Amino acid sequence: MEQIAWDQVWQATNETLYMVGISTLFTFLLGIPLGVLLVVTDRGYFCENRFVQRVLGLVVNIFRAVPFIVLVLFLFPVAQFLIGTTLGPTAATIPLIAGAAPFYARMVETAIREIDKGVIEAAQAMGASRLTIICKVLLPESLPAIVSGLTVTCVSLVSFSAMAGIVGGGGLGDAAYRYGFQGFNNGMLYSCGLILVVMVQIIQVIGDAIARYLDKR
Amino acid sequence: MIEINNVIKEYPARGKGAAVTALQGVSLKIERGDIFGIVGYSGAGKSTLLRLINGLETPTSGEVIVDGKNISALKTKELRQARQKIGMIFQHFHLLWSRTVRDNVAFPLEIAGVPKQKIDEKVNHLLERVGLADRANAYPSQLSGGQKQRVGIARALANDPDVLLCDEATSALDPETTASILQLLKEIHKDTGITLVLITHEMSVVRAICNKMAVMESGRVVETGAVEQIFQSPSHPLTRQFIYGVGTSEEQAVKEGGRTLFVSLDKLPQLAQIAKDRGLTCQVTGEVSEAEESIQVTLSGENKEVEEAVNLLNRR
Repeated sequence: MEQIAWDQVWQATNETLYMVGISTLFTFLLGIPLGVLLVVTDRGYFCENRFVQRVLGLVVNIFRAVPFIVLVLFLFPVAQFLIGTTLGPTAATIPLIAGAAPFYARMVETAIREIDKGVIEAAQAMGASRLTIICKVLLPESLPAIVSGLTVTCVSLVSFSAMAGIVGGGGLGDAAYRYGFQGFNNGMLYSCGLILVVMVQIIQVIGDAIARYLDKR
Repeated sequence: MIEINNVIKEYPARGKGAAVTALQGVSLKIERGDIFGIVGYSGAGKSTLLRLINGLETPTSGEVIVDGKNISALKTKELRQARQKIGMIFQHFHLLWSRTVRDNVAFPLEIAGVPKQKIDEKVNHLLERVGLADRANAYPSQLSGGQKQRVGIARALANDPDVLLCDEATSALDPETTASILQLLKEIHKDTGITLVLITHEMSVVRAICNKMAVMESGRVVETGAVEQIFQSPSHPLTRQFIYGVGTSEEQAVKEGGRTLFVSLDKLPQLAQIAKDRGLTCQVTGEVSEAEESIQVTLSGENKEVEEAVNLLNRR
């Protein structure tokens, strides 16, 4: 087995962590409000607005329907505009966020819909404002599911990031492809793969633990 | 305290569903300090009627006046403030499971913008009142149904409301727990003079705590008045059905030419004497209603004799 260049593996691991970290953060920040809006503007909820609901739903579906690798290509101009380049881990976060945020928004939506409408009615009966209901009822009551959803999304982001890596994003996917596959170095190929597997395991275990801790049902 | 004038509530047709008229011209007057029971089968419109009082439903026409304020005409912010003075408890409690008992009771105080330290004081007092001081840090999932409803009651009372709306509050509870919750409501009523409006399909609940009642059927109030009077002489067939549905032995007695009536406890010896004089059987067929201090009695025997006995008793 060929020599494994640990410094390259280490750098690739850091790039992957960076890509996944940044894109998870932004996916969370975008997905939460989007998911909330998808619910509260729907029929029978307190900000009912069928037009907004339909438009948001359509946008979310479009992003979810486009295969990730095609989304990366579509968003090259956006990355160029926002980051100034289409190469490297930072540029790769743009398609990652665009692919994961709508996916996560649907999960948040489902989580919030699970809440008994009677609980919302009870808060309204106490004189709560819409914002209070969102911040103090909808989000806390669905928090375990929101966390589980983030875990699933984060795991997908790890695998998406490996794909984004191949088209110039860097990270473990890129390293496995370039140094391992193209360089005929199986040691590099499998060590990068193994690190990805371990990463996914750790994310899942931590995510499950947090969700379990939060669940008081 | 609460005035409902000629309220009609229609739900517009949606998709293939036809338009539904939930209330077809309802008028009710509930005085301050009343314990007002609204009885009816599901679909009679009682739930819609209750929700008009705190503006969770708006009337299609007519008006709802609570404490001098026209609820349906209030602006959003005014309505939110008005709601803080109208507590509500629910059949399925609707507590926040992510909050402890203490924090559930604190929630309406947070909404009202009460300072933190005052919230703590108030919550302790409320939990003491409903007998849950030792469960303050438990989560709702760790409580029994009766305890959950006690939390619901503490939460509803947090902002010292003038009115407490009870939406089938005891329907999910067993008879023993129901009795203890009704007892608690009665005590709170006695201490604070709060106006209670409760909807239920159980006549026993009305008999246990209400002083006035209304019977609803298909969006209309078919009978209303003082509880004792309605139990004595129900005029609408539905009311009779509700009253005699309380125990099967009474129905039997009525069929055989008897009559069920409520007699106040101090008149009981007289009734026994009258029954004895006329050769009637006089049987106690229900429990004592604490609110009215009266008891359900069935007289059976010759129809004419029974009628006379009842008339004689009413004259005394």
